[in-house]
Amino acid sequence: MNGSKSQDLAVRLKVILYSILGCFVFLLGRLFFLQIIRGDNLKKIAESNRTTLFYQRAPRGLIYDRDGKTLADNQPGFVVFFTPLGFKGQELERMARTLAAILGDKEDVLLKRLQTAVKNSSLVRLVDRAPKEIAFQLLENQTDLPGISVDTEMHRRYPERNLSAHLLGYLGKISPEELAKLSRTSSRKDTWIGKSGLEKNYDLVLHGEDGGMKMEVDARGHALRVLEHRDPLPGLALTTTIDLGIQRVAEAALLETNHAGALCVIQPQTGEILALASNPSYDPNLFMNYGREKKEEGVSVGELMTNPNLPLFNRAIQAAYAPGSVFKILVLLAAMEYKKEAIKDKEFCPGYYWLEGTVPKKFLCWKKEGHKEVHWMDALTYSCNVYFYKLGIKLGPDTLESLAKQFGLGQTTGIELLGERKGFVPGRAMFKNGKRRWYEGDTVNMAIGQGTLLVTPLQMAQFMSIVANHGKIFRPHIIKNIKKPDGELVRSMEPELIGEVSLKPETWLSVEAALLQVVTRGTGGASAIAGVKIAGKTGTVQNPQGPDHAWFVAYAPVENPQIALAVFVEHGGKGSLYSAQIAQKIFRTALKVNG
Amino acid sequence: MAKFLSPYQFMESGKKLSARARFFKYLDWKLFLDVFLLCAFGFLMIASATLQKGGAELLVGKQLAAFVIGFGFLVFLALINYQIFDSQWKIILGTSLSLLLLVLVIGQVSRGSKSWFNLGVLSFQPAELSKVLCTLVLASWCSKKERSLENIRDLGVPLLIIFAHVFLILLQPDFGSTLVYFPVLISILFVAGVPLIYLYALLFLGALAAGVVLTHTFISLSPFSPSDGSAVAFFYNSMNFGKEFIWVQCGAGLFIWFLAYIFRGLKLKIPLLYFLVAHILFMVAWSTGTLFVQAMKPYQERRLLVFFNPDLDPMGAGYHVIQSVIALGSGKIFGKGLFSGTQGRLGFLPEQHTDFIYSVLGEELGFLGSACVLLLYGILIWRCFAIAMDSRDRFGSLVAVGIGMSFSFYILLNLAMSMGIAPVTGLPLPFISYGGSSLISSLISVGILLSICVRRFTYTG
Repeated sequence: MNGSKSQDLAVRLKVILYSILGCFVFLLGRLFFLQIIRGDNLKKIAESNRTTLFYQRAPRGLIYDRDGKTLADNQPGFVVFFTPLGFKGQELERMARTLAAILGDKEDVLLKRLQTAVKNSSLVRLVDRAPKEIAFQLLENQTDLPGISVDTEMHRRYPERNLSAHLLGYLGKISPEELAKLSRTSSRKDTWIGKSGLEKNYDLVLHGEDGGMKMEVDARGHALRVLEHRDPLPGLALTTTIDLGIQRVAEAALLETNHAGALCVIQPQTGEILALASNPSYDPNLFMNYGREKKEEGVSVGELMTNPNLPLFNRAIQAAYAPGSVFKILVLLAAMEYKKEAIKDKEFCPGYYWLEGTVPKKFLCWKKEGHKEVHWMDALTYSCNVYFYKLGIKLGPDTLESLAKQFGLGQTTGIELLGERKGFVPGRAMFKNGKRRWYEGDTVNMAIGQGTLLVTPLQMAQFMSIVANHGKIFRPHIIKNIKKPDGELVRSMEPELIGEVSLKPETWLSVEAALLQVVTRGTGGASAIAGVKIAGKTGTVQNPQGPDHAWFVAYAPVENPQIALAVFVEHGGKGSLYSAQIAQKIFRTALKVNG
Repeated sequence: MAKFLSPYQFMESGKKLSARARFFKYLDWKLFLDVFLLCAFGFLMIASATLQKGGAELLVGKQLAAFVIGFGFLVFLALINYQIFDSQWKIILGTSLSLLLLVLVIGQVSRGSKSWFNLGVLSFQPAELSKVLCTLVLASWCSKKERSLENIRDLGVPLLIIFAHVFLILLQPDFGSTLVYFPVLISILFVAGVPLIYLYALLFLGALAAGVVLTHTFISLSPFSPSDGSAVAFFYNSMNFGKEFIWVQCGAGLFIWFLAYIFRGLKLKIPLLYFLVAHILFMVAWSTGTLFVQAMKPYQERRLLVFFNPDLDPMGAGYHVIQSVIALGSGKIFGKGLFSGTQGRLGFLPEQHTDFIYSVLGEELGFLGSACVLLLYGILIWRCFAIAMDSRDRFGSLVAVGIGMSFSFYILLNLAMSMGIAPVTGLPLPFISYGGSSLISSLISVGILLSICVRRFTYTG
């Protein structure tokens, strides 16, 4: 063979061999990249390929009233699952059409959900709380709907419907923001969480721990075996301090007025809240079928949200109003304690009061013709404004402000509900950087609970409970204890003395005597019950929106206070009209007296 | 001219050493062992990949039967003198083409392709054998016409041989099996010493033909509507044997001859032959591309497109590539253990015992196992070219180069596909993928290689 030729051949052979071996080295590099650099990552993907998670929701913890009557429980409901089983495109489209007809959902949305399920080969909850009819319809058409299964799961139920709705709150699907915020490990996109009330504030306690199964699946979605199984752990049970009987009467009475309103009933010696009501109310069960409400029920979640009367708004803690004449109790207490000499046995009320100054101003008493000669006790009994204007001027705003703050006004009470309003106690400090200074007109307004003073019904009930206790302040609370589902006590909330408004005993006694008179022969007569000593005070708040708001605050029996309450009716006219009547009904129920 | 020697005659022809002793001394044991190990890997992986599906015994049994047959051929071919193929190239060519013709007549239709002879228990794919036979024919032609390979007319014969094969296989149609002919042809021509300019022309031809296929695929799956009267539609139709096809052919021809006219006017002396060649090349390339477009099935077009963008169809064609990469990578260094790969066992990998067997291997045996197999293949290719280098004649060299190139092409394309860096072509992995025809033809190739190697010092016929 020719030398140069064979050399040429060898060169050309080497060119090919080395290029091929170069490709091999490149493949080796790729292999290294895939198996060693990206190995962990791809292993995770392979693992998620092979497993599917099937969640079982934990039943939420139950909520009871103080006697163990159920406020919120669970009932079995239907859930519709879709297990992807190696579907073809057209098959999914056909299924989406059938499903859309049954569920009443949009076909393209459904199709997208089915397709994602197939893509991720993961089980999907198609309908979370399916009505019976839909569940049965799906079961009937099961041959046309491969992969669709109907299962039961425990769903939240509020057996008393509207009753104590604001207190309990409602549930909803977790929002992306909430999902990001919650660090709870079991949170998933389809988790239901409390959106308001106790359900929200105690979500962690009530939720329990979701259980489930980790299953090995093949490419067609068939479950081959269970790799891991964990039973769901039901949530803890809450026992509230609510007395269902009182709550029922309170809500019925509020509803009867046909006005918006709120009330709060506290046991003064413990701070336990016996009733907390807000009107108008709503049925939290509606939220469980959000988007699938039955038409015949007439109310939808959307309507609740847009209703101008704000049924979702908990007026008992979230609404702040001027206290009106109710505040006179505090003014009288202050005067008794710090300026006894200012309290005259006789004061003349011509029906108005001229406040002197560079621009004199006339302040009216609610009674145009005036109360004429008034004793300090009658001043409270008949709620004479002029008497209190004068008392206010003598006391000055600082004394009033400081005492109001001692009673917890202008601060949240610390009740276990979210969204509580602080209210507002005015004082000289509020104009520190303002355009004008505090002037005596402000003091006059403050003395009768008008102006910028704002309180919530809860704060007023707490105020009365402090008066009833002669100064002892117990933290108002709703939760009595937390128990495991089997009854084992986890935590028990004991009454907590958090402070005291220390005034002289005779101060308390004199004011109490005046408050008794309010009910026996004064403005609060509508609340009187024969044989029960009730200390109360009405309040009327003028407001630009319409008729006056009506307050009534009271406690009873005076010798051993069991009940302190505050009732507020928006545009309810004079406090004696509705509020005192409601209070009477509550006293009757709570103290178990007839007549 | 070599004359046929029976194995016994061969053994008796030894001089210094006994024929038997010389055979065992000069046998390429490295290659032999290498192939044996690869086959062993193959059996293990086929067993593992088919375990879940059931019928593993049947498939492994069939493969074992094919191995025994193939090994018989290997021993036989190693014993006989390979030069017989050089002398009998016409018979070989005839056999190859008639097999391909015959399968078009009496072949069995499977998955829309008429590619199989049904032999009762086993079925046989003649294209696999033709690949080897065609290599022998090409090597024979090129080794004889050594001195005239610079003559363009002598190149026509190898091209004709190739096109005859490709054409017949495309009629089946089996797009994937035709691909290997081009690298084999080019490598043989290259080593045979064909001037590079011709190879460039060939590469141009291949590139244009491939370009036609890719463009057609791209247009057919792109948002352009090929039905309106736009330029896109015009080109799309020209790749579909329509009147536009004629227009493109004539237009390109006119353009080339117009260029020739211009160059003449500029007094540039370029032989007219070059323009003729350019014209013919264009015509042939465009027609070949169009032919491939016709032969490709929609799923093949989709695969091709998905290679460029796997997310295009993650549940369809792209699914294979994605799952294969996941399987391979999830093996990490040591693998999940034999018979414990989840991707393969649970059916996430398609074609796990044929096209994607390397992914199963990578998943179960990890980087160590898959790199080991890569090394074995490297040794195989190295031995092919070493044998080509040591061969005592030009024919042996060219045969070894053709076989080495064919192996390399299959291995590289299959592995690259498994690693997600080449389109899904459906080419088997030699010695490891399940498939009797492929295994037998591979073992036949190795037998021929061994025969060339054993006789590297023998100068007598």
